[in-house]
Amino acid sequence: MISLNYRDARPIYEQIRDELRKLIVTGALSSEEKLPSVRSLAAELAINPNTIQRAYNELEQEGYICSVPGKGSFASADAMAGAARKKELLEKLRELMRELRWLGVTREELLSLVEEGEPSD
Amino acid sequence: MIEVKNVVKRFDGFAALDGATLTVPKGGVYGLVGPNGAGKTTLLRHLTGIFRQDAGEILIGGEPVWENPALKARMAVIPDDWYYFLQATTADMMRFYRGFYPQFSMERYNRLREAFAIDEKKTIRRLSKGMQKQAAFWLTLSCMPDYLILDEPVDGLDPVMRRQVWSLVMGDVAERGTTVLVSSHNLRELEDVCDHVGIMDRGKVLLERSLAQLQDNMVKLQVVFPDGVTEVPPELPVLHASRIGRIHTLIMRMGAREAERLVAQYSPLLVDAVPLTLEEIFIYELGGADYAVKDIVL
Amino acid sequence: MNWEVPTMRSKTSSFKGGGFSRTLLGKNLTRFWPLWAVYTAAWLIMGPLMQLMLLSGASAQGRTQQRLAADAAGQLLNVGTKGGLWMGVIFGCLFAMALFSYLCSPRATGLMHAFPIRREGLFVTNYLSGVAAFLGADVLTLALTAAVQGAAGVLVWKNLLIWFACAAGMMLFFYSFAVFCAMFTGQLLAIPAFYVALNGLAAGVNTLVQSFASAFLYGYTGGGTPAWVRWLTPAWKLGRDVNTNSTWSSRLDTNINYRVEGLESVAVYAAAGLAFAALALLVCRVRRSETAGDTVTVGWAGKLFRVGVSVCCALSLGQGLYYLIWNQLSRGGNSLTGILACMVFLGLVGYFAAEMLLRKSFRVFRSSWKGAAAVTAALLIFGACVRADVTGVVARVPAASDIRTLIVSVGGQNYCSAGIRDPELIEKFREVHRAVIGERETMQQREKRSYAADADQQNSWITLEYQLKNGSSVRRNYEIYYTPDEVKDAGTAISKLAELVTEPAFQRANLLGTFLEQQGRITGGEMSFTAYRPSGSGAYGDYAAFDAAAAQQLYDALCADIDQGHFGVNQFDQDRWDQETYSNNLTLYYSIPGREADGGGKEMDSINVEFSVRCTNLRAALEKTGALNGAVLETYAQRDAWNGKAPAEAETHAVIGGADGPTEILVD
Repeated sequence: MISLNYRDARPIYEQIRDELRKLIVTGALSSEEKLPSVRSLAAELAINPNTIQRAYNELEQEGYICSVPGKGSFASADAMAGAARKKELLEKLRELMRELRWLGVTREELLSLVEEGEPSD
Repeated sequence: MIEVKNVVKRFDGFAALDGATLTVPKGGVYGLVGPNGAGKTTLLRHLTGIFRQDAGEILIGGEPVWENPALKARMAVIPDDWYYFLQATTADMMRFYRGFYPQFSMERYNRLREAFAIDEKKTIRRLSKGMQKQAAFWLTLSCMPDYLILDEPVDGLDPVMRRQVWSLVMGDVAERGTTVLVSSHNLRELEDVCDHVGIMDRGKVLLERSLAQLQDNMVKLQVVFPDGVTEVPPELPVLHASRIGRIHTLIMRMGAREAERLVAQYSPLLVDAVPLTLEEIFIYELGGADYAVKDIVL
Repeated sequence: MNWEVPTMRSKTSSFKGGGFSRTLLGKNLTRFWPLWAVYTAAWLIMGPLMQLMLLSGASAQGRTQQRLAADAAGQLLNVGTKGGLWMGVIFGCLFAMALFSYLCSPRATGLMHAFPIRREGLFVTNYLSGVAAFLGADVLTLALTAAVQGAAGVLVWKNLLIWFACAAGMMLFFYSFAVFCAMFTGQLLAIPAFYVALNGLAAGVNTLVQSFASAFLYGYTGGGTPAWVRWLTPAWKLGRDVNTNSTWSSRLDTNINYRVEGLESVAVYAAAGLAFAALALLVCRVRRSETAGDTVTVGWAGKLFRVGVSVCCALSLGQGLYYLIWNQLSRGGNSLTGILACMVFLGLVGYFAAEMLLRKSFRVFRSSWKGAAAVTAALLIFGACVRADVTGVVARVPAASDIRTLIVSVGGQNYCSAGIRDPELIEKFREVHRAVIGERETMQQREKRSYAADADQQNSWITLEYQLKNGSSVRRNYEIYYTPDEVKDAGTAISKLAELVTEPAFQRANLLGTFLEQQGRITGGEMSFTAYRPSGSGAYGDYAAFDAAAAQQLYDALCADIDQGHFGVNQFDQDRWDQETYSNNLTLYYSIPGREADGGGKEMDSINVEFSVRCTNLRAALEKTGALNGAVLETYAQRDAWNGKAPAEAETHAVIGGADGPTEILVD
C-alpha cells in the first residue's frame, strides 16, 4: 500500500505523509475509511512508530485525516478542512503555470489541461 | 529511560570510554553510531551489566544496572558476538533463557517460530552466521524485555531478514513501549528505525539529537541571486555555502519556510529547498570538514 | 511529541533473582556430563567392580569368609586413601576447569554476566554444581559398594564411611582449591598450570632455597622439610599422612584390622577447601569481566605473578644453569658471584616472560624495567645477605639449654652415629662444633685444594643434628680436611673430635644405642672369617656361631672395652686403623621384649661391631667361648697384604695362618 524509496532524500515521515495523502486524494482510501494503526504500520514498514505518528499528525493538521481517541485515524470526510494545503497547492500551481508559459505553452493549452484534470462528476 | 552519565572505562590505561554521556527516552529507539573502535560495544556492555565503569553513572529507569538482577530481568541483549553452548540447539538455549528471564513468553516464542525459519532442533553451531543472529533475536524477543540492547544487530542478515527483524522490534516498540538502544557503524541502517541518534567517537558521545528536531532545523537552499549580487549576503545566518555557476547552495540551521522568507528579501531569481540526507545533517552539525566526520557517519 | 504507547507493565516486583539458579545447575549437570561420567565410572571401577571381583572372582574361591572380609576392607580403604587422593588431584582440577571455563571466554562471560543473576549467584551455582556432581558419584559408589559387600556378607559401614570421607573430603579440597586458582586467571590452560604450581610451590621453593643455602652457607645442609611446608604441599602431605594400616595375621594368612590413619589431615584440608571456596567467592566479586582471556585477572595477583615467576625462575633454572655451565668452568668450591649471575639472568628472563604473558605483547622491556631492576636488586641483596651471613646460620651453635637431643654422625675410618642426651657429652660436641666453625677459612681453602689431589691432605666429615626442645632442629654438615699431624695437635678441631669419638658415652650410644633403647636381650651371635681355619673341616669364608650365653659374655666384654676407651681409636688415621682393626666383624643378635615373635627365620635385630686389637676384653672373651675353634682374627692390613700377594706366596700365608685350603678365597 505504501512504499518507501530509500533513494529519496526526503525524510521518511514526509514520504509516508505524501504517500498517504496521495491515497486519500486519489480515492484509494475512501472518506471515513480507517487508516492502518500506527503500530501495524510501524511493524509492516519496519519504521519507528514515532515517525509514523508524525506523518499522521501532519496529515491531521492539513485536514486529510481526523483521529478519534480510542478508535484510530480516519480519512477525512470534509475536503474543505484542508484550507492551508489548498493555498499551498494553488501557489505551486501558479508557479508551474508561470514556468510553462515561459516554455511557450499557450493559455489555451493550459485551459484544456485544467478541463482534462477535472474529475468528472 | 536509559541514562549514561560521564562514564569512564580504562583498559590497561587506555580510555575506551572517556566521559560518555547519553540519554535514551522511555519508549525511544536510540541509534548509537560511530566508527569501529569508538567504544560502542564497550558502552553497551556496561549497560548490560557485564562491565563495571571506573567512573560515572549508568541508570536504567533510575536504577543502577550493576549487579541488579531485578532490573536485568527486564532487559535483553543481542551482543555482536552472541555466545551459545557448544552443542546447544535453539531449543536448548530457549530453555536456558526461559530459566533466567521471568517474563519469558512461550506464546511469543511459538509465534515467532514462523517468523524465523530456523530448525530449533539443530545445533546452533551448525547454523549460518545470519541464522545464528536470527536465533538470538528469536530468544531475545521472547524474553519480552522492556529494554532492548542491540549491538550491530542486523550485521550478517540479508535485506529481507533485516526488514523482518526490524519489523518485529518496531512492533514491540509500538505495542509495549520497549526502549531500544541499538548500535551501528552505519547511519543509513538506523535512519528508518531510530527516533534519536547519538554519534560516538573515541569513547565520547559527540552529540545526540532527536531526528524530528534535526530534520526540522536544518535546510539546504539552492538560490540564484539577482544580477549584481555575486556573494552570499553576510547578514544571512549560513552554516555552510558553496557555489556552482550562479547557483549558491546554502545550509541554514532553521525551518525551510523561515529560510525561504529570509532569502526572499534579496529578491532571488530562484529559491529551491532541497531535502538534506541524515548524513549531511550530521556532517554539518559536527562542524563539517574540520572533523573527519565522513568516516564516522558514512 | 506527545505520542506514547501504553506500556504493559509486567509483574517484576516479585522477582528476586540473582542467587542460586536451578536453570544453571541443570545446564551444568547436563552440559558437562562426559566429565561427570568419567569420574563416576572411575569410582565405580575402583569401588563396587573391584570389590565384586575380589569377593566373587576366581581368587575368592577357597578363602574363608573372615579372610574375604579382611581383604575387602583392605582394598576398599586402600582405594579410598590412595585412589581418593589421585581422583581428587586430577578431577578436582578438571571439574573447576569445566565449570568456570566461561570466565575464560569473553563471549561466554558476556552471556552469563548479562543474565539477571548476581556474580555470587553464578559462582555459588557453578561451585555447587561441581560439589553435587562429585557427591552424587561418591554416594552412588558408596551405595553400590555397600550392595556388593552386603551380598557377600562382608559389609562394614564404618569402612564404607571412611572411604566416603576420604574420597569426598580430598575431592572437596582439591576442587575448591582449583576453583580458587581459576578465579585468578582468564586462560583455561592457566588454571591447571596455576593449580599444579601452587600445589607444589612451598615444597619446591623450600628445596631450592635449602639447596642454595647448603652450597653457600658453611656447614648448612638443609633443615629438612618444616611442617608448614608440608601442609602447604597438600598432595604430598595427604599422600604421606593418609595411609591404611593393618596387622599381619598368620592364622588367616592375610592382613587384618585395617584402619586408616591421617583422617585428621583429610578433615583439615576439607575445611581448608571450604575456606578456599569462600575466598574464591570474594575474588570472584572483584574480578572484572573484561579480564576473560588474561593470564592473571586480579591486579595485585598480577604483581605477585611477575615476582613469583621471576624468583622461581632464578631459584630453579638459575641454579640449574649454574651447575650446568659455571660449575664446569671453575674447579673447586662454589662461586657465589657465578650463581648470582645465573640467577639474576634467569630471574630477568622469568620477569619479562611473565610480563609478556600478562600484557600479551613482546614489547615489555621499556615499560617494565623498573620491576625487573627491583627483582635484580632483591636477588643481589639476597646474595649479599648470604655472603654476610646476616641470619647467623653459619656461626650458630644452639645453646645447651635448648637442646633435647644431639644426633652426631662422624665419618672417617668407621662410620659412627649416635643420639646423645647426656649434657656433658653434648657440651663437648658443641665445643668441637665451635672449633670447626673457627677453622672455616682454612677448611674452605683446603676444599679448593682437594681437587688438586694433595697427598698430604685427608678428609672426613661430621654431621650434627641438634633436636631442640621447641621441636625444630638444626642440621649442620662439615667436611673436615686435615693432615695426620693435626690429629695429634691438641688445638685443632680434628684432634678434639678424634678424642671425643673414643669417649665411652659416645661409643656406647654409637654401638649399642638402638639395643639399649629397645631394651633388647642378647640371643646369640656370629662372626665371619675370611681366612682359613688352621685345622678341621677346611671350609673357607666360614663363620662361628655363638649361643645366647656366649653371646652375652661377648656383650659384657664389649661393654668393658667401650668403657675402657678401646673403641674409636684411630678413627682418623688410616694406616694405624688398618693395622689394628680386625676385618672380622662380630654380630650379636637380640630380641626385643613385647614384640610379637615371628616363628622361624633369624632375628633381624643385631649389634654389629668392628673391633681392634686394643679390645682386650673382647679378644679374651672370644678365646674363652671356644667357638672360634682356632680361627684367627685378621686385621685389615694382614688381609690386604695377603690379598695383594701372588697365589704362590699366598700358600705361605696359608701356612702362617694355619689353614690348608686352596687359593680360591684370594680372589674373593
